[in-house]
Amino acid sequence: MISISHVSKRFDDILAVDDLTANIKEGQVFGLVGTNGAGKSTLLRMLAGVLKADTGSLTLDDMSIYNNPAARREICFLSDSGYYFQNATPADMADYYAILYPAFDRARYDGFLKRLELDPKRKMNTFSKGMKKQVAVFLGIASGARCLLCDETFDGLDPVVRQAVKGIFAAEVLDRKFTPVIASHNLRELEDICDHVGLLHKGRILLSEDLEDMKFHTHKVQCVLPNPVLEQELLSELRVVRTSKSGALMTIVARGTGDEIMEAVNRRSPVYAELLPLSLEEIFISETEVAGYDIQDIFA
Amino acid sequence: MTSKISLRKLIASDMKRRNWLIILISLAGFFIYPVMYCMSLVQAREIYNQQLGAAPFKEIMPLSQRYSAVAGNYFGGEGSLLTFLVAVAAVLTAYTGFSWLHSKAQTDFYAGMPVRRVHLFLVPYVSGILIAVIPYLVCTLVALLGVGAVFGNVTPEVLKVCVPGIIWGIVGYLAVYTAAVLAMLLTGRGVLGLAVMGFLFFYGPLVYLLILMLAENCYDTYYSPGGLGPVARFSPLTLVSQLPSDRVAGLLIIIYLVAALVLCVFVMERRPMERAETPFVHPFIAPCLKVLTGVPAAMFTGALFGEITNFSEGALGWEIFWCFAAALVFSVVFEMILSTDVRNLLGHWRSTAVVFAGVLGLVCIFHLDLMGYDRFLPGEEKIESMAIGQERLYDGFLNGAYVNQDNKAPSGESLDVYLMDQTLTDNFAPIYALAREGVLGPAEENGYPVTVRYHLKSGRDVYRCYKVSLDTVSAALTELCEDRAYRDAAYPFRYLKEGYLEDLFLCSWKITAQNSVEMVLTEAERTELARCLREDAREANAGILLGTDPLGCIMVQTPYTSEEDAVDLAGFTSEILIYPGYARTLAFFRDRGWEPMETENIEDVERITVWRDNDECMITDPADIETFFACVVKPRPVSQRDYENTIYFEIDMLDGATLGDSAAITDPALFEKLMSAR
Repeated sequence: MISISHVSKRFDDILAVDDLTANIKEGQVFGLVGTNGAGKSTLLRMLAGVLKADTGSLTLDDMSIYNNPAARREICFLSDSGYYFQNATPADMADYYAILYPAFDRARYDGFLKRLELDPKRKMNTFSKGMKKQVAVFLGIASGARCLLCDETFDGLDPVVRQAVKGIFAAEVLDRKFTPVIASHNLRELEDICDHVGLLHKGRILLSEDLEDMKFHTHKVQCVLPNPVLEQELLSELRVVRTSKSGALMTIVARGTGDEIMEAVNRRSPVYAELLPLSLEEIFISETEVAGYDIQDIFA
Repeated sequence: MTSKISLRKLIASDMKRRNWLIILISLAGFFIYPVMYCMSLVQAREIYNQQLGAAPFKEIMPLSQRYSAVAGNYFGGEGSLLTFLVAVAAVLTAYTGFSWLHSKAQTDFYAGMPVRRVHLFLVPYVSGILIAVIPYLVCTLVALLGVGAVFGNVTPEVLKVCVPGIIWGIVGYLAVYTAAVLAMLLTGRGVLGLAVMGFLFFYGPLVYLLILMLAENCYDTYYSPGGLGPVARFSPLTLVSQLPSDRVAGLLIIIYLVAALVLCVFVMERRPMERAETPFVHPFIAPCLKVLTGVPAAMFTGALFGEITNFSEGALGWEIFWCFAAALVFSVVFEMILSTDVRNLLGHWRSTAVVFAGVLGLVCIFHLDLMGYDRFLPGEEKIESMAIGQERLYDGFLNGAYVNQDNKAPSGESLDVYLMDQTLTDNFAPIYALAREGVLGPAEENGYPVTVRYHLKSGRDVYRCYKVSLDTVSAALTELCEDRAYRDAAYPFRYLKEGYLEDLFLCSWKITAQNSVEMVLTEAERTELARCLREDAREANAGILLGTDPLGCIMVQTPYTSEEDAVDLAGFTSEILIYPGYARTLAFFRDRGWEPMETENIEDVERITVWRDNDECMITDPADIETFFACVVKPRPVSQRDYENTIYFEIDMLDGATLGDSAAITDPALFEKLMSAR
């Protein structure tokens, strides 16, 4: 388990990470979301051991990460900028990673390349941005590291590749103790990959929850009730997170299981009622509003 | 174990990525060492063959000796070629090995790898060494052993000179390379990395030269016994040029290497990786650099403009003004370069204030002499011994260059130091009196410069150069030379080599002396002449020497017997002066048929043309010619000339010969009368 305890990091006058505490469980696909400048990259760079925290501790299975090769062999960092040696091919990069990561699985790496039709002998400076990111992800997975830190790695991947990578991640999580941490400023990018999400804002973590928990405990219902009195009764009964009304159609996001919410709605003989799936963005809007933040400000 | 194996593989991987640099250095090394070494040996052989036919030297340097000299030049370590090679290789390997620290993307990549910080440093550091040292070793060994074997130039003597040279070359490279790496580690931008390399390579020598310049410009009594010698000690790059002959340089470069390496590891362990693409690794470096470079730059500019305004009234005021103006301009330019933002021109006012304070401090120390450099005069009870360095002391014996026991002609400065080393005396009252006049007496603008060395009881040596009157110098020297031990130590004849007297010319010390007489001596005669000179000189009184005109001089052409001597001592002539009191020497020459002229040969003079104050004046009347010779003499050696009373003339002799020289006026009134009649 990765443990982040009261970590702060300052760059001159800018406080990038502010007394942040969080835990990342083994086997989770952890999504780290936040706006540009929220501190995602700084946090990942500290987790990778690139940066040293000013205060607090970052540990992997109780091993300090910074300047500790034993812990860092279990972590592979794919930065947002991505770097490859000049004139290097995917095969050259694999050779280099194999030196650094004793558990590097060359056959698996070659298999990934073959599956996505990437030529291992082609110079990487002739690859597209998306292709380079694919190679980076494959290097990270094949490294055998238990924790893969991906900084904006999925931005720019086409849907087909994203699905393929998602499948690979899922398989890895099942096969071994694999924990990808994926940072992105795009909630939709993470929705279909992550099962746990942390929201960073101004260097602090606003919330950190399992996606399924959030989806299980928060629902959206659209309904048309016979009269305004019933509408007010319903709103009073439910633990409403947010509500809106368009004509007679009322949309309610409320906490509780789907059955509980639908039962409350059906008891008021609705003209129309339907439980709708909640997007990650909507969950965040709801949760952050509850926490006292206006999501419009956060993702403005 | 895994870590060790990985490190080796990482070094190999790094070297593979920089293989272009290995090829570049190998190509340069191949042309500079095996190819050019071969060409030099061929050239040495051709010169030898040419000289076999028509040798201008008495002895021809053997071919093997020529080859050894070529090998020594190439592999001996010293010289600008090795320094240049070391500098270029060090900058290239350091820059390519550590430029990743200046890129955020590369920093994320490398620093994110599961290796310790110290290994992140060691991998490019070690590969940088191997990239330069392996081609250097291969090329030098191919040249030394391969090419050398073809020319039969692999001898124990050659190897004894060349192998240490090659090893010291590597040590020199390590020191310069480590300094260059340190520059890369301290900075966050490539250009600044190169700038800090320049700082580490050149700052020390430049500041040393600046201090010398300021001291020379500002202090009236300044004297530097070391001259420019120590300048090379302040930079690893210049130290390389001193290797391997200078042991102090060798020790210093090892200290420099170790210190730089420790600093590199220290900085790397603590380097905040987020400083990539920012100017420096720590915010305090920029103001430190600003102060360290700003103060000397301001003082240099002040001195430069001071030179320009030196002739105007209030020159000192102008110089001080320029120092502060330059401090302001430099601070502004530094901030502009660093931030590339005009809004920051007057930023970091604290460091600007320190620059001004530094300039103020140096202005006080140098221009206003607040430390009392020129007023230095220790109490006699604090002095153990003293020495005086003044060319008048040895000009009494020699006119012209001087050869010490190392068979070299030292510069005036090192000769002074050498003589002062030899003549330290605890009977220093005459020197102390002279020094007191130099410090407390009236300023002698046209006084004679005399160097004084105080050897204090604390063990410290202090040198000062005073300008005092000619009478004071003469009185001090006369009193000192009464002590036979002092005279023995001071007189240069004890270093006289009999070999130099083999082929000599004798000339009378007269204006009209036309021809010199060549005299070839046998070995026994040379020994005898050297003995006569030594004994005569020992008995001569310094006061008499200084106040008496010589009778003649022995012109000694340095008998170089090899090409090396010919280069070192080309055109080298010493004039050993013969005084009336040199009875043994004069008797020696009289026995061999040479007698110095007692009087000027006025009868043979047809016409004298005198140049004075841009006027040309011709004297043809025999009576006037006689008057001319009554009021002038051939001047004594350079330092004893009174330049106020010197004239330049040309004499046409009746036999058609023309003599041109200068003369010292002994009777100004008579000379003026003669001239005014023209």
